[in-house]
Amino acid sequence: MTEPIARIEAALKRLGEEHEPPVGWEARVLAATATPKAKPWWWFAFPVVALAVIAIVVFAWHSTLDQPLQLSVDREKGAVAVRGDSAHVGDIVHAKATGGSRYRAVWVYREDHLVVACPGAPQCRRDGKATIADLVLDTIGEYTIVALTSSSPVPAPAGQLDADLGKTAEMGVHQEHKTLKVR
Amino acid sequence: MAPFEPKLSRKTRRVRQRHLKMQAAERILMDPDSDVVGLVANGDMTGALRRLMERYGTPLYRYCREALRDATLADDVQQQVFIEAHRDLSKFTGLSTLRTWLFAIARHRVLDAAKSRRRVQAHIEPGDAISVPDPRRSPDELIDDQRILEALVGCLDQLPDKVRTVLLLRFQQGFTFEELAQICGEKPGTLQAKVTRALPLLRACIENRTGGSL
Repeated sequence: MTEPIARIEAALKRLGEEHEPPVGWEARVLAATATPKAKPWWWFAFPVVALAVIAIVVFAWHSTLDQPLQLSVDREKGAVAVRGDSAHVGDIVHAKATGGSRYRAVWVYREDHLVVACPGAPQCRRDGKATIADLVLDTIGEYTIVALTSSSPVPAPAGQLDADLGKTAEMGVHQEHKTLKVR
Repeated sequence: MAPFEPKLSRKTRRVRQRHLKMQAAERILMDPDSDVVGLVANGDMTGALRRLMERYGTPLYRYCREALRDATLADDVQQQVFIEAHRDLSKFTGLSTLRTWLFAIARHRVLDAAKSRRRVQAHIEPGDAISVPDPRRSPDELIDDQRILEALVGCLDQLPDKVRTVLLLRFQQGFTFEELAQICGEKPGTLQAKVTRALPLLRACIENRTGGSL
């Protein structure tokens, strides 16, 4: 007679002999493990290209934004040595207008009368997006340097400080000014 | 307290690692599924999977089915095991045979499935049915093999999941205790003790269910 435990072990061995996996199970496993089709090379390049385009657009948009109008006045001492830091005849002034809208202008007045109007005068030059007036201070007096900017062309000055500034202000032209006393 | 382990020099560690690698390589060569390992090494994962399914699809399904007592669940788990095997075949290190490795995955998935099912059933079923002896037989009468088999199915259900899976792996699938240790992550002696304790319980349960003696 077979041992009872041996009979149980034999029964355990036979357990489930009649069962077979359902038909088509292998196909289902293969379908689940099928590797996705390899993506073309440009699929990987796409995010990089997209980011580059976005960066260019943002940069271009940012550069078109209006920067605030700034007027800086630098002074070079003239050939004649004088005491003190104040402006003297013979000094050279560099009036530089930067930022602002599409059109910029620099006007220099002495005692309310126009001396130089940039752009247009021989003392004018451009440096990148800056409009610069280089002026030799040849006469004693009070100089008023005005930087103007507008999205439309700035009208030509008539020659009188108050009238010119009043007219441009009415037209919505933005202005910045500084004064300089020359002894 | 952890046993004292002497600090090994870098050279000794390197020699030991090389030795372990060589052992793993030898095991792979001796593995009856070394052809599958070869296919994996050549990058033919689908070919390797096909061979594994061909060899172990049916035994693995039977193991899942008897461990879970649910054809649909067994089907799901069996497929899941092969999908995972396909995913991890490239990481197979040869520390065990491929068959042992595959059944280790199966055991984990079976225990997970049994756990999830128990959680669901805890809200539905009131409890296990009480086993009633068959009144047609006298206690002294010998039970035939078919009746043992029928009673065994119900008795296995009463064992804890981990013990049931060990019994099935040992007797239905024929794993040695050393292989079982690799599958279950326990010592061979511990597993042998589990089996030794479970068999008399099964005997008592079968005799109780059939009303005869084995």
